[in-house]
Amino acid sequence: MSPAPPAWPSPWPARPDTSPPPVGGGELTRHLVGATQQPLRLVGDTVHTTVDIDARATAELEGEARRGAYHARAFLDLDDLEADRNPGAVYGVYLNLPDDPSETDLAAHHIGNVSLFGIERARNPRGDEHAHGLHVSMEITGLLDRMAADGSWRDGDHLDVAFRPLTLEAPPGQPELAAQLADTGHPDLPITVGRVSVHLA
Amino acid sequence: MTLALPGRPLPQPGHPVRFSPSERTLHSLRLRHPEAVPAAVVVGAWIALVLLGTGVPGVGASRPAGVPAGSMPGMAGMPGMTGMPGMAAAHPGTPWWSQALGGLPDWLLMVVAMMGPAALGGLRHTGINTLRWRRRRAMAEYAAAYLAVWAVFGAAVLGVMAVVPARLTGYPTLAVTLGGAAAWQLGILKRRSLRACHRSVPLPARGWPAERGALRFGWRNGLACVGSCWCLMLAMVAAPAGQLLWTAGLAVLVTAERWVERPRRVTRGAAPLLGLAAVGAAAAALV
Repeated sequence: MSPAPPAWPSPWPARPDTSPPPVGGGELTRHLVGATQQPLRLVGDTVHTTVDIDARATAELEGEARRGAYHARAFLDLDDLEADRNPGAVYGVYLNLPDDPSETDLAAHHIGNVSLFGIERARNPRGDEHAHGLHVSMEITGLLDRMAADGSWRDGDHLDVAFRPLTLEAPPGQPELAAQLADTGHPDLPITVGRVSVHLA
Repeated sequence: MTLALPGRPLPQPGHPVRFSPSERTLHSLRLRHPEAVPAAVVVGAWIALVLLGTGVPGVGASRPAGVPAGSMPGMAGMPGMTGMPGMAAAHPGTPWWSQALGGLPDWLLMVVAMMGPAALGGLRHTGINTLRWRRRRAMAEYAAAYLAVWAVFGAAVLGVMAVVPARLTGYPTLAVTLGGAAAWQLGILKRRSLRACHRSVPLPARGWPAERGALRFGWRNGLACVGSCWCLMLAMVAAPAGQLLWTAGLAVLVTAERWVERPRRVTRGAAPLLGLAAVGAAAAALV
């Protein structure tokens, strides 16, 4: 049996002591515990937003956990991603990133990437299929466990989410290429992130 | 979320009271399928339509004596419908707006039955993307805004029907509306409206933004639904008799368009059938 996972700060519900059920052994029921109130606009700069965790929602899950329900996996979802066209930009998504992060911090707090490949066809499919929005879901259980274990995560009421544009590094000695790659702006093709939400499953 | 059972002790920290298997099943069903209660409401609407249409004693007071079974409640007693099979005599002197508003409750009952299955997807999306403690309110807000759109459309349709002369109604009108519905099925506006039915809007978590979000989602979904299905609804209203059968048939079409993986096959496949029905109605008008 695996060791008990570290406790997450209040108001997150208590973690079960037993090992998690095998992945794929049953359908997970996800419960919304927090979401942003306003859409985000990405135009090539780093953007921060805060997801407020709802204490009433987590209290309900705490009550269920005492009745044997299992809620131990957390997910961060990006809902209703919209843009007129794919701007070609890719954003790294980071959780509770420190101010002025080092490369080590970026690697440690990175939870996934988001791009808008396929946005045009999602809303207007060529074939005979229904339109759909773009939606990205990233599991954050491991990162939350690490942050709780090393004590860097004490405020359970909020999660800070950062979107940083990713680009390539130019080889040494090519300043023009480096400057070109550093220009990640796409103000004419903004990306709208309708909602950033956190779920517990 | 606690299931209220008489005599069941409240769980205390350190003394867990576990779900029984049946409780767990019911609880899991409610969490995984928040649309289950609205689905039951849709079933109830169909039961009410059938009972009102067949004139079960004690039920269906809205269907006056002499109106045959299968006629839709709310369609009876409308001016211009005198002598039409399935329609009761008109009430001369009643303002058109009064008759339009008077028919709205039955119209909305029909909308719930006919459009309800197609709207369950939006209700489910609202439910699972809302904090659980306000889930019911959010789904009710979605439903209220969705029905409000159809109420506006219904009031307009009923108001027009109240002033249309009797000689212009019946099978000729049915033939025209069925032909229009067949043509609409093949158009790009139908396709865009059907795609818009699958669009969602961001749902904030709390406060007035959350209430506005659910209402906005229901309103936009309702507008898309009206844009997709308005011709079919007109054909159903124009049918001089057997509206219950028309409602059931068109409800199957609308639901299939929304649920199947290949919607264009259903949409385009329905066009020739509607066209044939239009020809049949035109032939009946000539008889």
